[in-house]
Formats: sequence, C-alpha cells, structure tokens
Amino acid sequence: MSSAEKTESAKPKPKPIEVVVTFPIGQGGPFQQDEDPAVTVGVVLAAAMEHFKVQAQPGSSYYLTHDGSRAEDSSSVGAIAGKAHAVKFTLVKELIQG
Amino acid sequence: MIDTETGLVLERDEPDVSDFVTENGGTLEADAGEPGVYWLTLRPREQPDERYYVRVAWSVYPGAPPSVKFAIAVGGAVNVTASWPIVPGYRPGNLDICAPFTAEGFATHPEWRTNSERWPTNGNPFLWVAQTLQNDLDNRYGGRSG
Repeated sequence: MSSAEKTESAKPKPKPIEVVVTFPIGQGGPFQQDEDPAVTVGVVLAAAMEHFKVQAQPGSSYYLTHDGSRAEDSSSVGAIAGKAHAVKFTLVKELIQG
Repeated sequence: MIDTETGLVLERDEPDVSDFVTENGGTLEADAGEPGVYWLTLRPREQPDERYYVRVAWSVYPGAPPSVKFAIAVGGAVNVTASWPIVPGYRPGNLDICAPFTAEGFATHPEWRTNSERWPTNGNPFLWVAQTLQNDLDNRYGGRSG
C-alpha cells in the first residue's frame, strides 16, 4: 500500500447525514435517507420527487426549503446540516398563476 | 354547512396545521360560528412585525379546494385590498388568489381540474395550503398591497 493510500484509508469516514423530506400531499410517508455530507440538495430533490411520485410540469416546478428558505440545488446537505447530523427539508411546489 | 366526513377529516388534519403555523410565529383558529372556516395569522419571515389574517373556508374536505381570502383581522372583513400581500398570483384587486390551491383559482381556470394542477386529495391538503401561503410570504413577498 502506498503512503497516499495509507493516508486515504486513515481518514475517518464522514458521518452520514440523516435527511428527511416532507410533502403534505405526497403519496406515502416522508422521504428518509442517510446521505454522505457531500451529496447536494439537487440530488436529494430528485430522489424525493421520485419518492413522492411527482414531476415538474410546464409552468410549475419543485424545490426544497430548509427553515423556510429555499435551499439551492448546488448546496451540500453537510453544509446545511452544520454541526447537526440530520436535516429536514420541505418539498415545495412552485405554483403557476393565472 | 359542512358534512360529517369533512368535519372529521378536518379535525384529524388540523393539529399538524396548527403546529406548522405556530412554528412560524403564527396562529390557527377555528371560526366559532361557521364549521369548516379557519383563520390563520401569518407573518413573513423577513418582516416579523407584519401580520396577515387569512380566512380559509372549506366546503368539502379533502375533496375540494378552500376559498382563501385575506382579512383585516381574525373574523374581520375580507373585502379590503390593503389586507393583502403582494405575491405573484395574489390579486388584491379581485380579492382572490389565482393559483391551484384555492377555490377562486379553480373557478378562474376550470382546466386545472383535469390537468397536472388538479386538486390533491392525498395526505394533508390543509397543511399544504398553509405551507404554500407561508412559503409565499417567506420567499415571494413584495410588501403589503395599497
């Protein structure tokens, strides 16, 4: 084993983040999954939409909010969770209007 | 007047709505004299001193969207434009919200009844309405209507 490999294997594996996504009108219960802290909000959004069986449509879209604020797709769940090891999102449907 | 099933399902879903609204600095009150009618007091996250009073009136639950109107106070008049926030799709001049979570929106757009915007009956639609209103005040708010 090279010294670089030894260093890599010696690194402690980051503790997973417990991710929960709720959607009041979704089918089934909340989306729950343990994720690597580096996983992005966009990845969680896609998985949650599949879980709740919803798809973006012309004139409407979905995004996640955390503590009332829109979470950017490029943010990592680890950055949002901070020192916590759990993070809760809400799936929001951006509604079209007449 | 609401039917028995509507009353029972509202009773089931109401606690989660109350918890959500309270967590966001607001309140939920059932109308004392009109079953199926609720009064939400909400505030925008960025302007916590502002208060908006919303009358949410269910005729059939969860089968149909509610009438949603902003009022001057809990139990107050719903015909004052200054009671309304400025949010895309909210129309103070018409005293309605043209979006697929209100009876007024579906009356304006009957096509929503059969396309992807159709009214959802899964889960807790009352909580969804409350979350949508709060999210609009938190993320799409443009001040109070004149």
